[in-house]
Amino acid sequence: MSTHEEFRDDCAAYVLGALSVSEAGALREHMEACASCSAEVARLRAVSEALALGVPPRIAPAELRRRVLDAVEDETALLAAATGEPRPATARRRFLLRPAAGLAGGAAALGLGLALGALVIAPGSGSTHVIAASVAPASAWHAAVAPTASLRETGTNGELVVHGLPAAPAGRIYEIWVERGGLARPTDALFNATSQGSATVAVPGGLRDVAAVLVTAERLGGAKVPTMAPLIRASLG
Amino acid sequence: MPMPLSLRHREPAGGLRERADEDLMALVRRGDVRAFEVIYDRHCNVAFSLAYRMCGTRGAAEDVVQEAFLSLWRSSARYDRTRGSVRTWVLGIVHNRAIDSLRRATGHDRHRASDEGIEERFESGERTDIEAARRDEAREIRAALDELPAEQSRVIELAFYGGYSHSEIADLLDTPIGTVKGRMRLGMEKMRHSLEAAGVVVAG
Repeated sequence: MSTHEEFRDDCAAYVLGALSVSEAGALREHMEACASCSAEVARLRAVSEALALGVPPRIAPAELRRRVLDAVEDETALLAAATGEPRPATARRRFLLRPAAGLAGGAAALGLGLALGALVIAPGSGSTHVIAASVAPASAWHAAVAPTASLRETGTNGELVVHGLPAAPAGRIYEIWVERGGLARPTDALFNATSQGSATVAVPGGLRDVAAVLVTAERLGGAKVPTMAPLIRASLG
Repeated sequence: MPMPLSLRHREPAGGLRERADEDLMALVRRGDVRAFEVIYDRHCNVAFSLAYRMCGTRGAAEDVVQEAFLSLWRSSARYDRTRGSVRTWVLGIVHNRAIDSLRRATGHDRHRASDEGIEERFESGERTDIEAARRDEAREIRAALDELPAEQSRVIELAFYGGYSHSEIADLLDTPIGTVKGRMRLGMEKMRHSLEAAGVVVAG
C-alpha cells in the first residue's frame, strides 16, 4: 500500500504515461479521495499537453488525408449497409435475408479468406469446450447488427464462432486479431461471413495466453495494424 | 442513428470551416463526414508532428495518425468539451497510439525512435499567422525542455516521446527508479514554471 508521499512522487510519471497499468490505476483511485494529488496531476497535465506540441512542426502528407477519409467513408458504408432500414430492429433480419450490395465482392473475398484462413479443426481430436464470449458494444453498428460470438477450444486449437455478422462490404474482408499483454496482434486468418451471417474460423496459435479475440474489417489481404476499432471483441476474461 | 448519406453534403464546407471545433464535434457525433474532414484538416499537422517525433519514421507516424483519427471518428461521443480542447484530445489519442506502436516495435527500432538527430523535416513553405504562432509556441516549449538539466530532460523525453515506463528508464540509465521519478517531478515542475512565465500555460 503506497503512502500519500509515494503517490505524490508518481504524479509526474503518471502524466508522462510512464507508470504501469496497475500503478496508474492505484493513483487514479487515490486521487478520488485526495484533492491535493488530483490538483498536482492537473497542474502537471498542462506541461505534458505542452510537450505534445513542443515538437518540430511537420506537415501531414496529402496521401494520408486521402487514406483517413477513405477509411471513414468505408466505415460509413459499413454502417449504412447494416442500418439500411429506417428501423434498426428490422435491419438485421432484412440484412440476413438479403445480404449487402457488397456481396459479389464479399464472395470473392470469401474465397481469399478460405485460402488464407489457416487450419480447420478436425472433429474428435479431443474434448471441446465452449467459452462464452462477450461482444463489446462499441458503436451504432453493434446496436443495429448485434453480432454474437463464442470461442471453442479443442486441445490446443481454438475457434471463433460468430453469428449475426453481415458480409463484409465490397473490397473488405474480416481479419482476426489476438490480444495478448494488452496488444492486438495480427493473424493471417481472414474470413467473410456466410449469407446466413455466420462464420467459424480457426484462431491461429490457439487461445493459450490470449485475453481476447478481435475482428475488424480490413482491405483485402488484411492489415498489420488495425485500421478501425474492433467490430467484435470476444473476451476470454 | 447516423444522418442519411443524402443529408451529409448539404452544408457547404466553407460554413463548416468557420465553426468552432466543439460545434463540429457535435456534428461528427451525428456521422457528419464533412465536419470530420474540417477537424482533420485543423489538427492533422500537430498530430503528425507528434507522431513523427515519437515514432521516428514517416510510415509509422502515418499509421498512428490514421488510427488516431479513426478512433476519434468512432468514439466522438466520448469527447467532453469541459475536459479540454479538441486539439488536446486529439493529441492525447495520438500519444497513446504512438506508445502502443512503439511497444509493438522491436527493441532496436524502438531505441532508434527515441534517439535524437534523425530529423528529416518536411515543413511547409506556407507562413500563415496560425502556422507562425504554432511554430513559436513549439519553440517556447522545446526551449523550456532544453533549459532543464540534461538528466531531467532525458527522463522526460524517454517517457513522453519514447514511450518508456519509469522502470524501463531506470534500466536504460542504470539509475534507481526513485531517482528517475524524482527527476521527472523536478523537471516537470521547472517546465511548468517556465511555461507559465512564457504564457504558454495558464498559472494554476
